[in-house]
Amino acid sequence: MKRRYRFLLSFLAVLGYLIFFPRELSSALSLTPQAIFDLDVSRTAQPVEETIPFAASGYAGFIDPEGRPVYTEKLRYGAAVSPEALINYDSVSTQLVLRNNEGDIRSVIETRGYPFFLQERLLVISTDRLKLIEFSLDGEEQWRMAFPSLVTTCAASGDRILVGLLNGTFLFLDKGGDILFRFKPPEGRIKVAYGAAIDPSTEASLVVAGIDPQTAYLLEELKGELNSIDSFILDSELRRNLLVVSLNSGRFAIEQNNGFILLDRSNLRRRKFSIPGQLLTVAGHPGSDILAVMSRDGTDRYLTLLGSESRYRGGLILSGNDTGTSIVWSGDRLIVIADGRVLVYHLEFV
Amino acid sequence: MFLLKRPVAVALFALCSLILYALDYQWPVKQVFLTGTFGEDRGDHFHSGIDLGGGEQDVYPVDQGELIYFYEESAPASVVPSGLGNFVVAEHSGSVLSLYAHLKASPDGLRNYQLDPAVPLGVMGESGSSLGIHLHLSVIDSDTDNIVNPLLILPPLIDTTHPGIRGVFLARGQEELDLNKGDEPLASGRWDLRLDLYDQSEHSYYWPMAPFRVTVYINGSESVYMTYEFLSFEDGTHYLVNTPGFSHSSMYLSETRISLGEINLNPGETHFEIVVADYAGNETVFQQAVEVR
Repeated sequence: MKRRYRFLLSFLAVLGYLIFFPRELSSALSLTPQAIFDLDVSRTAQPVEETIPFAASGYAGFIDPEGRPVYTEKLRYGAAVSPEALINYDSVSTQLVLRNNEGDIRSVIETRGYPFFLQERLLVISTDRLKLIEFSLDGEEQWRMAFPSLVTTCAASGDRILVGLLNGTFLFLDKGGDILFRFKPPEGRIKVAYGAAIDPSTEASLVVAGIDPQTAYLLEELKGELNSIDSFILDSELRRNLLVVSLNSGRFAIEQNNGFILLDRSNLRRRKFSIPGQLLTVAGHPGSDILAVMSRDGTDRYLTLLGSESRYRGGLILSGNDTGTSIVWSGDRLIVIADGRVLVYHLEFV
Repeated sequence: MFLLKRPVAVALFALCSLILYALDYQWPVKQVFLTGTFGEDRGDHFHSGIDLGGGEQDVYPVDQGELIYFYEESAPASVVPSGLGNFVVAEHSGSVLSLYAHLKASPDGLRNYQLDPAVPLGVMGESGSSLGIHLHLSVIDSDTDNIVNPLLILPPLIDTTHPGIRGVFLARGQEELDLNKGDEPLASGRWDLRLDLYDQSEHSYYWPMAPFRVTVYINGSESVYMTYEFLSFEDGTHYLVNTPGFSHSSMYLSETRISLGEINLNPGETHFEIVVADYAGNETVFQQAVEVR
């Protein structure tokens, strides 16, 4: 074969490779173990300015940005955590004790309901799931609202709270708990609200409702009106709450069986990505479009890193039977809380 | 004769339809021990169903149906915590929903979607806000979102125990008078009528439960009528639907003491007759005549 044909053939082979396997030539991602900390440390000697809240692996509390536990408690029945507050509560009680991130009691709230934080807003849901109350961190009631049907899902961002009900209705509440918008999804033989998330800008929301079909709706607020921008049918038809996560740069992740869908709000592009087992959580890297995805298959948990356009870029497997696992980014550190420990990894491009 | 308001009439019509659909319903457990009734005080709300005890046992759907929602406490997407613990909501014919709460966790996080009355949908547990192993059962009319007393649609329980009336009181401002000790004449005008009452049955544990119906006659005329039939949502509040309608905050003074609202007493002898009934129709009657100045 003449030399120039050989050169042309080589060129075409490289071109074909780039077309069909484009990511193999790009840098892969790896997680380098950096530190490991035991969660069974009640409090550190030195107070720290910035803390990251967690409730996982049988513990609740705060770690510093390097993953070092600042204040931890063994989980009682459940825990509500925010960067500034922790409520570790029993299954039956009439008081909630709110502690700051150093473990000092900040306020006590008289209620029989169960607390949870959405972003940094403290909400208490009545035990019959028909009423929500928002409290300040000082324990003062801000507003309360009863609902005609059971609360199935809730999301918040900025001044907005989005509440999904068993009757399929979604209610958008303002800072004072007043109803701004009401969205009743048109599709579905069965009308139930299964999941919701609000974009950090509070302009866009993604809600999932209905069975037969189960539909995801992208909603946007524009000039004081709520508009349905896009909707698409979901294959999995999960009849429990499904994870809907608002990620960086206007993307939403929507849980499906053995995977999830990434929706880019800017161009309405959707990509389905398969992962091993059931999705546990998704965390978006603060400085890029990299996603850390935790899933479970049997007793193994898989941590998968996804780069741009949802291509697989690396990962690791955690063995063990821990029921609660949490992942959070702290700069380029990926902090994994599992098996009673804090595992700190550093993200590196290989 | 009194005229029903339109929403109440619609609700009653829906309730009748629901009861007709419910003729084939079964109890969700084999061993029935009623430990809590519909409409009881739960601190800041009405009890929205009934509680069944009897230890760990299988839980069956009350009728054929389809699972439309289930909540597992350990599921990663269970962001909103649940005082109901692990629970399942089933849809049956006639727009009837049934809810089964405080279940044991499903071992694999999965539940059957098609429900057969002969196949358990779960196991009684103590997840959520629970003081012991029990099942909380709610029934919802999905057309109206009304929460219906499950005892209205389930097969009847044998119950020969009468409800109890511990006391009847008239209150105004800080003053509260016990009608059982009513030797002194009463001042005329408006008084808040309060009852301390409870129910129990052969199937219940010995702690007070809510009865089913209270009727107050003053000088032979029906003055107050309330039943624990269903909860309806209006103006941001759940009411026991009847005339005039009772909200939890306006009605419950303590776990067993309720306010039936204001009555007007005119000068002269006033005869009180208060009839408290349970679900099986057992009645306890309080009668007292008092002098009003």
